[in-house]
Amino acid sequence: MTDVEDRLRRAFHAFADTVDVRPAPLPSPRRRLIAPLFAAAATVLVAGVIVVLAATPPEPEPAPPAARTPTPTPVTLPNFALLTHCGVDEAKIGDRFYEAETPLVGPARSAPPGWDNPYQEGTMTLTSPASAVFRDRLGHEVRFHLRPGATEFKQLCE
Amino acid sequence: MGTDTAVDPAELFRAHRPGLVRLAVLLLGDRGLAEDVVQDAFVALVRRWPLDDPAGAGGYLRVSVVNGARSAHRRTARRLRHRHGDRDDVPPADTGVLLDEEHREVLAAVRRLPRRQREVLVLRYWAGLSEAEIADTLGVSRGTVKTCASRALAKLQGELR
Repeated sequence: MTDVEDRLRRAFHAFADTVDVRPAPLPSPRRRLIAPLFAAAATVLVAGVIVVLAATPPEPEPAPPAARTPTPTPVTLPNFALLTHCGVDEAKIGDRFYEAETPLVGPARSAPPGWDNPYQEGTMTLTSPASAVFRDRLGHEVRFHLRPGATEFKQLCE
Repeated sequence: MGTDTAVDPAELFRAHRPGLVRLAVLLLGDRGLAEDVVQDAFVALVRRWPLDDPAGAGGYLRVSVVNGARSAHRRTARRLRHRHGDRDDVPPADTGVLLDEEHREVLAAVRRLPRRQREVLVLRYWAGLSEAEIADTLGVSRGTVKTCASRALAKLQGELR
């Protein structure tokens, strides 16, 4: 093997070793998500907020002679109903799909202990277009990141 | 990733998912996209189950992931060109956080290669596939695999010191 081939092999394996793959259940071809009316209403409300915010970007402040990079303002969504029935792993915010950085799953893929089921009410804060954090009155805090290009949930939850 | 005698999709998922996610990350440089691509590959497998040749499920999944990665990469490249102009060498967000300089340099050079050459190198030097297996995965001839590999290695030889 040449030096370049050896370097390739080592670089690929080093990079692949940084990819931590946690166990997950087999995905189902049925991608329906059964949502109670109040959760659907909450999603529609949130989607409306997101659409309005996305359609009306903040006006840029007049730039001083030394240009500044504006800091994005977090967007807070109160009364957010986070699906917990099959564990805390995914969230739909507006028309975008997010996944938890550290999923929390109870026995037999159920709501984790100490969380309401099938939804936990709380506040979802979009800290950036690609990341969000959920907090509730019980002190739970879960960070989510965007699944770019996703058009549906990863898992069926009934 | 060899042939499988397992006939249970759940077992295939457990056995193959980690390697396929890593393959997709190597091809795409994006963990989120990689997970989606692998997820879609398994959903497609489950939809087609039972396969005519269950022993070839591993190969089917690999082809599915490579094709899915190509589609995802095309969509991402289109979005990036809208924002950054005609640049295909934007480094992926995940790359290099835990890697030393040597590995980052090699991976950056690989990312500058044409897509097919990248695919051949990843399938040969990470997945450890034979020329015939790479040809089957990419849907090309063995001669094309050989040519891609030698061109890619020659280019890297010139770039890496």
